[in-house]
Amino acid sequence: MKSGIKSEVYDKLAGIAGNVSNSEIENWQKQGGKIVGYFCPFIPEEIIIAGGFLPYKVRGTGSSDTSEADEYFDTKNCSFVRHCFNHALLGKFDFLDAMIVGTGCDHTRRIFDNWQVAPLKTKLVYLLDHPRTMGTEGMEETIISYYRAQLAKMKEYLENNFGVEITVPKLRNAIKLCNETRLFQKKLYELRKVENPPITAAEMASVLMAGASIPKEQYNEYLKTLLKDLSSVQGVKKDYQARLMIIGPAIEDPLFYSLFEENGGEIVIDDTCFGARYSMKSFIDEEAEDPLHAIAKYNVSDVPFCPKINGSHKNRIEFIDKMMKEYKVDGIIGQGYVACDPWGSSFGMLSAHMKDAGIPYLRLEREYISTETGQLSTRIQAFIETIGGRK
Amino acid sequence: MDTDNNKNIFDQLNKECNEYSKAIFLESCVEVAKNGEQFGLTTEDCFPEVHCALGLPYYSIAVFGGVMSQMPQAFDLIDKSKEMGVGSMTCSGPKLAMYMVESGMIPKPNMIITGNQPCDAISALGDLVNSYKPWADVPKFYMSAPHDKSEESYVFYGKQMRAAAAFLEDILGRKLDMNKLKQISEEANKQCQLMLELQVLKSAVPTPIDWTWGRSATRIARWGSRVGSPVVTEWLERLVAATEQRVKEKKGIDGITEKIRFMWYDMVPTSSEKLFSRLANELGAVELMDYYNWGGPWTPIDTSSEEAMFTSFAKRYLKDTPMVKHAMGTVQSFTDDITRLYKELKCDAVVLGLNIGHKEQNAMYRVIEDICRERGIPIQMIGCDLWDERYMTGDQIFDKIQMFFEVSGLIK
Ligand code: SF4
Ligand code: SF4
Repeated sequence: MKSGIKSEVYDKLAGIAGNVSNSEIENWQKQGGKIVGYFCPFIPEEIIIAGGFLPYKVRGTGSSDTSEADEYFDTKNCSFVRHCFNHALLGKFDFLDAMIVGTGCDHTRRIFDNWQVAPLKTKLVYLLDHPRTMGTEGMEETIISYYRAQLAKMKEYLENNFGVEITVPKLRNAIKLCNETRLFQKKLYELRKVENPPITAAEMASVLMAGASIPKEQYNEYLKTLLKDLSSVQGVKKDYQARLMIIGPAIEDPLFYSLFEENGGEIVIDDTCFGARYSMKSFIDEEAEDPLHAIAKYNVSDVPFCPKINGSHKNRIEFIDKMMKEYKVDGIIGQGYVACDPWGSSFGMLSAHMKDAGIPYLRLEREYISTETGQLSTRIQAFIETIGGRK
Repeated sequence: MDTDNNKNIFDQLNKECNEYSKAIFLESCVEVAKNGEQFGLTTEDCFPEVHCALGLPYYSIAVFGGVMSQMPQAFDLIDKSKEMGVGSMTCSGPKLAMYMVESGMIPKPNMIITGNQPCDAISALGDLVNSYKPWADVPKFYMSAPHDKSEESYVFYGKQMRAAAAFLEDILGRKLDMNKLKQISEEANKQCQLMLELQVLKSAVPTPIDWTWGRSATRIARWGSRVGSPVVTEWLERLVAATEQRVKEKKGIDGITEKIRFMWYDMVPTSSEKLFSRLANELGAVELMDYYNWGGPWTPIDTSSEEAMFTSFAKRYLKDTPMVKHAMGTVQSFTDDITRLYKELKCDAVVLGLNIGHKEQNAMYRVIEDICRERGIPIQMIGCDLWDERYMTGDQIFDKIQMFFEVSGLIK
């Protein structure tokens, strides 16, 4: 369902989100700009931007098949990774000049190994080792320093391969730019606190996705305009039965959101990789003497809601509880991809927490791209009806 | 040494090993808790030497899952873990352990150390342990094993290990005796050297002993509370001497005519006892190497200073422990080890268990196959669930391996 947004900027962003490539990328390249791909928010786009590159978050938009990728990955691997790699093999990411993979999970990490041997146009591929713990009390600085050292290596890799210099002022500017993005996105989220949000979850997802595919300066301008456009709009009055929060890895399939809207659910907030987890917490210190340290600290101590980070469950639950109150959430959806161990077990724990707290909770295990939606839709409908019945 | 005497030695070694390895089973954990003793629980079984030096009984819950999958009620517990909402394709070992924690089957420990290795499932198990409400008041320490294989990464992990040891000291209210740790480490060095000697002896044709001996050695020399104990060194010395004797006498495994030599390149599945003995008895195929049979080489612990010791523990754990090394390393290091061992052990073939839980292996199996083929190594992927035979029975695995041997021309 559409909210009825009348905004040229929104239409533009939705168009960008709906495709893997876009005209901004083409323009960037025409002007000689280089593009660096990445998979996960633990790979700081600030460093990529400071090198003068366009950071591009790899996604499987439009993919309907993984047969090429299945020559490298088994079908027991996460479908998000397989769809993305399939796109890469089909040449859809040929515009990338380099690719940075993180050590986040057992599936994404192997993109590095497979990328090296697959016949891909983008030859430069780098593996960034990022810590998987926030650290026990007293150990945070050791963990941050290690990550900082790894970030310095990644910076050097970009500098050496592209003949650029990533200086402290450039890093500070990039931090400012990304903080600005977070701020605008946060404001967008705030619009969703009201009874009839002027932008739906699916629309919001498109706006966020587009942000990781175009130059940040341009994106921030778009966000400013969009916020202005939305401030004068009243959301379409909808007869929804439940306000929902969705939790899990990145959701990049708009069809999935529509399953909720069709069944009387309004997703008002999320805890997903490139959603609220990116925009809702804090900002990176723009004035820090050592910007690399500030970036490392932010990723180790401030935003680890991700279950790949050992010891982060408490932190995740606190965030979820806080968002539930602020956004008047009636029920929680834990959605993850088949074969994902980090989220899989996290949902087990979440389920216990929700049960104790008496909060309706629905666990959905699915594939990255929704093809068979009938059963999912039935479960969602039943869940929303249960919440409706309780109200 | 006559044949009977040699057999008696192996029987005696077996008996002793069963006694020493009790510490890895749930019963002993229950026993310790019942006696009111303090004990630790870990998913990061990275420095058994430190636990031993502190005299702290501890339980590796990562090992538990695998060990407990042998229990008669294991299938039931695995199914119940699915009802908890845990991912349907999560490795059954940790899944089983998750259920055991959640259902209160594991006594409350006094301290917990968790980390992220070797795989996502163990990391997830750690998170579950950390957030289990009845254990909310148990002090916890989180570790992060680096993937990077540089000296600075080992120093980084060594620092975390030292801090984890200090965490244990604080709770126990006693200091780690560095002299004792040094002694244990030096003894552990000897033990690792003996494990390597055993591996070299196994390369004899015919191989002198069956696969269970390497597993026994690992169980007592690398896991649990006897690491670095002179008793274990002495046990290993006797095992090496008795094996050497068999090599001298050109004796193969009793009752087996060796025809095919292969590696099961993974941890062994719950069906392994029956599976490997069928392969040996029916096809003359002897299993020479798996992750429990790993003889190294292991990095010697440098005991020249405290820092050097902890950095060596880090190296030994991250770059020598096969599951950790392979799960967290690159496809290159994985296949280089296959190639080295294939040659050293004079193997004819390699079988990759390709456990359903080993997502990182599943994510590179094609590349592994290609590299091995290029190097002339016959390799077969199985794709089983190591801890749940219902996914693929031992008999089905047998059939798959038999067909592979036939196709490779190893069965004439
Ligand atoms: S969804 Fe899970 S398995 Fe897939 S890439 Fe993300 S963390 Fe890894
Ligand atoms: S996936 Fe492998 S390493 Fe992980 S718990 Fe299972 S058997 Fe152990």
